Amino acid sequence: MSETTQTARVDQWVISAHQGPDFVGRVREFWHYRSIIRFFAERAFKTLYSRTQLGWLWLLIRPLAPLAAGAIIYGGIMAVPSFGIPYFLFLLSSSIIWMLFDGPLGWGTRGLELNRHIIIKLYFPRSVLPMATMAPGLSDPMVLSGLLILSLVGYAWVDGTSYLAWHSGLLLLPVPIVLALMLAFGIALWTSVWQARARDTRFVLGYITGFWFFFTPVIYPLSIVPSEYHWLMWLNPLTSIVESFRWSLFRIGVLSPLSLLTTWLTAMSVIVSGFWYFNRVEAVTADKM
Amino acid sequence: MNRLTVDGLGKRYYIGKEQRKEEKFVNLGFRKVAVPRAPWSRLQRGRELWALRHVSFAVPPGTILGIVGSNGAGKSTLLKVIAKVTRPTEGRVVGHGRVVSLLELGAGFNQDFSARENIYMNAAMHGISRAEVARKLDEIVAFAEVEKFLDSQIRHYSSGMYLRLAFSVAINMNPSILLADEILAVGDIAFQERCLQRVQEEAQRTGLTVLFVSHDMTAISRICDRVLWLQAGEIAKLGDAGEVVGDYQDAALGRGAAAPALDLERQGAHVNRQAEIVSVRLVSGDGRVLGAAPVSEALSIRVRVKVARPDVAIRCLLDVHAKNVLVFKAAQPEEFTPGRKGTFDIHMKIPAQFLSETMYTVHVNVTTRNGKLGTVAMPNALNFMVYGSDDQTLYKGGLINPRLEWAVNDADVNPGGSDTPDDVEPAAVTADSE
Repeated sequence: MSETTQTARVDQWVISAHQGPDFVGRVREFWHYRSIIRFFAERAFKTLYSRTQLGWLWLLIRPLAPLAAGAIIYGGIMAVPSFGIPYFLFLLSSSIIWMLFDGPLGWGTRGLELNRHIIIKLYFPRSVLPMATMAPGLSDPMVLSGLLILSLVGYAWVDGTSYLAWHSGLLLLPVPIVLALMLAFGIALWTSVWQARARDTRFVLGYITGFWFFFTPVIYPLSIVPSEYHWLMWLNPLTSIVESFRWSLFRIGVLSPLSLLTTWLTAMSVIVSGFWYFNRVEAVTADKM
Repeated sequence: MNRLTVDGLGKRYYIGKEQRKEEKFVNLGFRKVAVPRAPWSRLQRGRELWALRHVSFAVPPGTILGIVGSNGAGKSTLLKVIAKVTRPTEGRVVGHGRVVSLLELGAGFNQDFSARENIYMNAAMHGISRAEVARKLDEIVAFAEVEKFLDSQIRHYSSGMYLRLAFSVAINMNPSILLADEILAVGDIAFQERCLQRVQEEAQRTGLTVLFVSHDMTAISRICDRVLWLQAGEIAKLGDAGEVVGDYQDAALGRGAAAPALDLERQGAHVNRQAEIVSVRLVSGDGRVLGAAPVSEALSIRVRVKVARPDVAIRCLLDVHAKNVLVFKAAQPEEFTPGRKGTFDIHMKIPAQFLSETMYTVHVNVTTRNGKLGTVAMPNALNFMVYGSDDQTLYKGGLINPRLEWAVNDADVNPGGSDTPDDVEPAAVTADSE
């Protein structure tokens, strides 16, 4: 009996108008509930190509069509330099890392919107939603990664040379990947709230990332930018992500540990501020949904 | 020490669309256009509505508290606040131990997952670890009686299995406080009984406290120790189940002091020499007697008649009223002659999605014909509440809520969509068709 009383006292919780859990409490809660990320991720994945005629074929068409067009226009017609490796491989690898940022960001933005019916019926830390909903955005870069492996083998077969650089830098490959995902998650914490309030958010975001794409050295190497503007390019956290990804694979372009560090700091501050902002407004936002 | 203490709780919503404070217009010469306001400009809020206000009560361990009230009285909002789904505007709630909510059947279930995965997921949604669920898995499955279907997708589950699974997961997570919105009243009677037994067992063993919202007064009276009656967001009454339910029903049906006079025929005795109306009940599709039912359920009104002579012809007539308005009259199309003395059940079936969210009153007349015509009347024979169980109805209100078919035709192209009535068409056409 005394034991029951004891636990009861320990288990006490309070709900009040203004006092939600603090930042650390929120982080702890997020961690405690981490296993539901998979649940929401699978759910989001299912919405991806449901009710389409071509179904899973879209999984291939969507990432491959712009790649084919880009390879012809930028590589063929405009002859963008690519450090002696086939431009197709250059663009393919850049697209993978770009889509690892762009795709999850676009999906994560819809995290609250897509799960409205659960949010209004069940309590759980809602900050898992932007993260979980990023999952479908991984499908495009994964398809392209498969294609990259096939192409590397194909080029090795035909040209007789391996364009993939067999160097210790390959071990760095996860760094730009993780940074891209971190940045996407951090931004999605902000945009998912806005998206829940106004559906315009996603379209505006589409334009922003559309511009961002061209100001990031995705379809071109950083080296063709006049060097007096390099500092401007490095301000963009995605520059170091894309450059280091390509460096890691092909040993081309620039690896700048300093800018990777600043990118990491940028991503962390966007995540921390985003997490703070998200938790500050999620209760009000959920009521308005 | 109380398991749950609610103190001065209030929840405010704003009804209606938020609007920018004032709209500015710019004249383009040919028309005026509203200038879009910056998204961050201050919003003018809609009309404010307190879904809950000044709600204070305490629940000791082991209590099953029923919560009753009409639609929009704040019942669900109260549960949502305690379940942390929505944050209160004022006041506070202090509770002890784990809260498990069943606000909607299968919220947090994924149709494409197997039952096993869903059990883990559902528990995880309540913040319960995989290891803890693994220990309880057998118990959960046994109580839900889904052993054979543990690894099949739950989209193939019947609604009964679904309910059993949801409840079993909830009760086996060792909650200190269980929040149930309407769901205990849904299952078949045997399962309802088992749930109730289990809840009472846990109430005694661990001090489980249950907050149970229902429109079904029969279920409320049977299950609950105490009842909280909410009216327009405030507590109308809190007390023993029988007393509060009685008062609530009186108020809801407009009985008691302020009873509006129903325009009825002569209040006859409900028996004559030929027949007697024994009872009139609302029953579900599978024959359970109900006190209230969701809009989405097919129902029937069961009139139990005791026939005194074998050769009498019986016909049942029903008048269904709501809000003191006659909604419809219905008569059995054919008289029937029972052929023996005894008791007979006459069912009038009401399809799902036909009645609206309101309280209905049924007056029953039974005509008996045996040489001459006689009538047995039972005015006010049955009162029942129909409530919305889903948000599927877009446009609520009115006394009935039938699902009707809609069509859109292109009136410009399709000559059949002409505005002129058919009988104005040339006579020759009519002659042709004959």
